[in-house]
Amino acid sequence: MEKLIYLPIFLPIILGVIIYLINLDKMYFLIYVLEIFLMIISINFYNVVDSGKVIYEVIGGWEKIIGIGLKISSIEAAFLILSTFLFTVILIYIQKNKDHDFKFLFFILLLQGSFNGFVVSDDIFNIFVMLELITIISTILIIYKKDAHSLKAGIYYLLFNSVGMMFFLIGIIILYIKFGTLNLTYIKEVIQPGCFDNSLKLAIIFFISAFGVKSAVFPVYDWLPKAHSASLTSISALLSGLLVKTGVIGLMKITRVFDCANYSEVFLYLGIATAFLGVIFAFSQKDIKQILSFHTVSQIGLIMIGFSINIDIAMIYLINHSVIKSLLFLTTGIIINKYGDRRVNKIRGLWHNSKYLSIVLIIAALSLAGLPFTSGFISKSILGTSIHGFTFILVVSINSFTFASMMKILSILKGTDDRKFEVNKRKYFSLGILVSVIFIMGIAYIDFDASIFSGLQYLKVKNLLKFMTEFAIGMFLFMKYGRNELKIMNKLRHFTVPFYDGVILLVSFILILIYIF
Amino acid sequence: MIIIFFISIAMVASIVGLGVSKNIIKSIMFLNLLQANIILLFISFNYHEELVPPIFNGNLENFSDPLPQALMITAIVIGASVTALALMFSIKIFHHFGSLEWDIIKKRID
Repeated sequence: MEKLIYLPIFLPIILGVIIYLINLDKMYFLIYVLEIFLMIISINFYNVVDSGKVIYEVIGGWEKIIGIGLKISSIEAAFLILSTFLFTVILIYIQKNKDHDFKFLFFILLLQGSFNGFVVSDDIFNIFVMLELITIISTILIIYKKDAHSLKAGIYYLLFNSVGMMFFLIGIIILYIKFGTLNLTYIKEVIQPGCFDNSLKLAIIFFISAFGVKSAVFPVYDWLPKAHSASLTSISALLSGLLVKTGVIGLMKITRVFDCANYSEVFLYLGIATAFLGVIFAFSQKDIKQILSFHTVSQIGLIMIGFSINIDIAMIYLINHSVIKSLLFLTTGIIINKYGDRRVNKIRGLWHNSKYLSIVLIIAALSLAGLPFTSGFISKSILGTSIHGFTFILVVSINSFTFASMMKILSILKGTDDRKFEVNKRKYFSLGILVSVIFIMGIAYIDFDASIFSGLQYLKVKNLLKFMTEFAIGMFLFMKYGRNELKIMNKLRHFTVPFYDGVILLVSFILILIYIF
Repeated sequence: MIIIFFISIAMVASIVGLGVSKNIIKSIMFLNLLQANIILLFISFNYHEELVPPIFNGNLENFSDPLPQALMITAIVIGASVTALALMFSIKIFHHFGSLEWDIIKKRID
C-alpha cells in the first residue's frame, strides 16, 4: 500500500514524457486508462484512510528526520480523487481540439503529477518545490495562446507568485533553524504544547502570506482575475477549479501541524474581506470570464470563513466549488468561442440557439449561488448554519451579490440571434458529467460518514428561507443596477493593481498579519 | 553575525526595489537579488569557523550540516528556471508592446 503513493505523482509525468517524445494522437486512450487507474487507486486510498489510518512513506527508505515524507490522510485522499476527476473531465473536453496539441498534453500531465505531488508531500521544502513547479507549468499554460493579454497576465502571475514563494523560503529557514528538520509529521511529534514563541510565529506568518498569495486573498488577489480570464478555457477551468486551492491545501497542512496557535480570527477577517471585495468587483464587471474569476476570489474568501470554524466545512465548500466553477468556465468557454465576444451585453439569444448549453449554464450559475438539490446549496447551508450574528448577515449579502452577478451572466439567454451550435459530443459529455456530479453531491452529499440522500437533510425551512432572501435581494440588485450602472462600478471595473504596488500590498499584508497575530 | 546584518539590509533593499521599480527587467533582477540573499542567509546561519566539510576523513566531529546546501542548490535551480522563463516572456512582451514598462503595458489593452 505504501509504495502506491508514488503512482499518482510519477505515472502522469511518465505518460506525458512518452506522449511528448512519440507525438502520437492515437495515444489518447492511454490517458483515459491512466486516469481510470489513478481514480481506482485514489478511491482505494480513501477507503484505507477513512478509518483513521495514515499511509506514510519516506522516499528512499530513510529515517523520517532526514528523508522526504509522503503522507496520505483523509484530506489528501479526497484531494487526489478531486484532482483525478477534474483532470479527467478536462482531458475529455480538450480531446481533438486544434488549440491543444501534444505539447499541451505534456504540460497538462506534468501539472497533474506535480499537483498530486504537492498534495501528498509532507516535507515543507518539497511543498515549496512542488508549488514552484506548479507556478512555472501553469504560467506556460496561461500564455499558451501567446497573445498580448495572456503574456501580460502570465508575467504578472509568474513574478508575483515567485515573490510570495520567496517569503515561504524565509519561513522554511526559520523552521529549519528551530527544529533541525523539515518533516511536518516529525515536527508535530517533537513540538511541545504551548511552545509558540515569536520566531515560530514569524515563520507561520510567512507561510500564511505565501499561501495567501497562492490562493489570492484580499490585498494580494489581483493576479487571479488577470490570469484566469486571459488563458484558454480549459486552463481557466483548471486554474479556478483546482490550482487556486493549493493555497488553501497548504494552509490546511500548516495549521494541522502548528495547532497550538489560534488562527480562526485571522482567517475570519481575511475571509470576510476577500469574499466581500471579490463579489463587489465581480458584480461590476461586464466580461463573463472576469465575473467568474472575481467570483473565484470571493468563494476563496467564503472557504476561508469556513476554515476559520472547521476544516470539514472548508473541505466540502472547496470540493463543491471546484466542480461548479470548472463547469461554469467550460460552458462559457464554448459560448465565447462561438460568439467571438466576452461581454455580457453583447451575447444574446443563447436559449434560442442551444437548449442544452442554456440548461447547463442555468444549473451551474444557480448552483454557484446555492440552488436547492445542487451541491452549492449544501455548502452554503453548512456555512450558513455554523456562523452567527454579523458574519451571517455579511455572508447573506455576499450571496445576494453572487445571485445578482449570476443573473447578469444568465441574461445572455434572452433575445434572438441566429447562430447554430454544432454539437460537439465530447465537450457536451464532459459538461454532462460535471452536471450529474453537482446533482449527486447535492442529493447524496458525499460526506465523510454519510448515508445516502443525507443531502436532503439540509432542506430545512431556515436554509430555504435564507436562499429565498438571497434570491430576492439578488434579483433586486440585478434589476436596479444590472443595466444602469453606478459611476463607482465603472471605476471598479477598470481598477487594477500594478505589479510594484502589488508587492507593496504584499509587504503591508505581512505587517498587518504580524500586528494582529 | 555581522554578515547576517548586511544580508538583512540587502533583503529589505531588494524588497523595496521590487516595490518601486517600474520596469520588468528591473523587477526580475530584484527578485533574483532577493532570492540570492535568502540563500546566503540560510547558508550563513549554519556557518562556524571550526566546521569541516561533510566528507569522511576519519574525523567524525564538527561536520557542517550538509542539508541546507542541498536544499539551497534546489532553490537556486528553481530560481534560475523562473528567471529564464520570465526573461523569455519579457522578450515576447517587448515584441508585442514595444516596451517593458509596467505602466505602458498595462495601458495597452487591445
